Amino acid sequence: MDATITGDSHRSIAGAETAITIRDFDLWYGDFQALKKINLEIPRNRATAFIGPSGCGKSTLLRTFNRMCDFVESVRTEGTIEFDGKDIFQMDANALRVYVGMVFQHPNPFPMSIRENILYGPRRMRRISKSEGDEICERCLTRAALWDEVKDDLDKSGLGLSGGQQQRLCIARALATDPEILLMDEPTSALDPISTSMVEQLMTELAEDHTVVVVTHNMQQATRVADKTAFFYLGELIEEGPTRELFGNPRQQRTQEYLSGRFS
Amino acid sequence: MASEKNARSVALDAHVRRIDSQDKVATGVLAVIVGLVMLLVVAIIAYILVRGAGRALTPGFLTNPYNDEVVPGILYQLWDSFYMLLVTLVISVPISLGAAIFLVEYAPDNWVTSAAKTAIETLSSLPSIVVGMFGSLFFVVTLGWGISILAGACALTMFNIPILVRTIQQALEDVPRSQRDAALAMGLTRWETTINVLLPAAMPAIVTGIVLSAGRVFGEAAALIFTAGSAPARLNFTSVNFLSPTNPFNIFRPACSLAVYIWRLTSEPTAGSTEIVWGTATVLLACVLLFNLLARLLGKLLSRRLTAE
Repeated sequence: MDATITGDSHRSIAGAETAITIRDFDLWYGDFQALKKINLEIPRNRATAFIGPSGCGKSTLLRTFNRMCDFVESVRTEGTIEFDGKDIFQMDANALRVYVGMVFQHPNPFPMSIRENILYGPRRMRRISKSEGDEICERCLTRAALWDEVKDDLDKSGLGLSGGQQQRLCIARALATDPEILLMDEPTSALDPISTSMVEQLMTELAEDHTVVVVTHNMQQATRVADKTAFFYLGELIEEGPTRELFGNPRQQRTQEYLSGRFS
Repeated sequence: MASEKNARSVALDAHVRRIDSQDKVATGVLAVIVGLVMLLVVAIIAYILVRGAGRALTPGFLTNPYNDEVVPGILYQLWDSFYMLLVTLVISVPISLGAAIFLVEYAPDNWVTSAAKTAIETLSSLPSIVVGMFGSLFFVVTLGWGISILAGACALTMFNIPILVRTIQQALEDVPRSQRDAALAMGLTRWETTINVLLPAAMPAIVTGIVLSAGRVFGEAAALIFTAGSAPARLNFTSVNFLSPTNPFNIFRPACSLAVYIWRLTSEPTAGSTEIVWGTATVLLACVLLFNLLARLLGKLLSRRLTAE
């Protein structure tokens, strides 16, 4: 079994408030039920990992949090997802997406300069002065551990950066609108090992004052970055709990089998 | 047992030899076909150059009016060709952009949309002489614009729109899915996504498409004969009266493009006109080649700017 707990960076989730509450949540694509009666609480200012084999519904659930699923035709949902006590399906989707940032599997900077990438979100909400813009750029890029590499090239295209740099730029862009929740959909699966460890380091740091939810295929990654882990299988939430407990002492047969690599 | 094995290996050998020779024959045939096509292009270009390069390079040919007594030139036709192209692009680019954006980003998937797509495709296969006839009846007569640059540009627009819509559609569709995701996740509206994300990302391909279509429009003759006219205009480049038929910028005056000029001189030859025809053909060819070159160059330049700068 290779998914053992390596570090000791895990923080307790017992004392954390709940940021997202999912109650009896079902989701269908047409006739196919992709999520079945999900009940889960995502702790505030902690990192939560969703793990499970392909097609288990973990990405679908993640994409529901910022209502990206609205764009898929024939999607139907039942049950509630609450964010600070407010039902996200009652909120304005575009307003919701300001509070919920997202980072994707493939880095996707906008076709504009690094500075414009960062300032795009803030500028949509209000006028940003030159000096304020500089301040936001420096703060977000520093937070995304990219500042030192690009501080002299802010007006160069974001698409000219390496893959790992682009992904950190995307994280900086997501931070620029000051989101409370950061969703990451397999954020390192297209990156090289060095970039991966940088992004993992970032996830841990960001979880200090953001609610981070990460979908990952990599169980080791879950043990490295997540305070809480939820295991999904065939649209069901099989088991959830503090990462240490879930990996160290899984209660469910299928969790044990998945963690020990008997299916994937 | 051994003989059975032997028979199998003999059969296999024969099979390998057979598919090997098939492969060689196919490669040979395809190479010959490609060679023939290239030969055809090279032959046409070479022939035109041999017949017309001398005249085209004669000092004055590009800068004299057609009625110059020493070296009759093609200055007016050259001007008219480019000017008409400009007017055509000014009309057709915004329309095509709008249509392509609508079809790719907004149009619901229903029969109206598919009818619109079919209509655009049909437009691209209309014979140019028919478009010319329609133009002369509608733009020239019904709308009362007369034989004019504007009527000609509108006829050319009808050719240009289907090509442009198709290229712009393709360019927009080729923008990676991940870029759209980024825009959606940030809560951008479709319009913001289109203007700020998709169009910039698609710009190199769009510009290439526009320039390539310009090359095609530039050489069009049949649609212009009845709409923009075939009589060489008399232009006065010092004119400031924009309504004067000799003002080069007046879009309501008749005009004669290079291609139409070739047609006219060929159908109504005068003394020495053959020379001028070949000279004009050379210039036209050079312009079209230039457009193709420019399209590649601009596309490369823009995509480099997109990723580096």
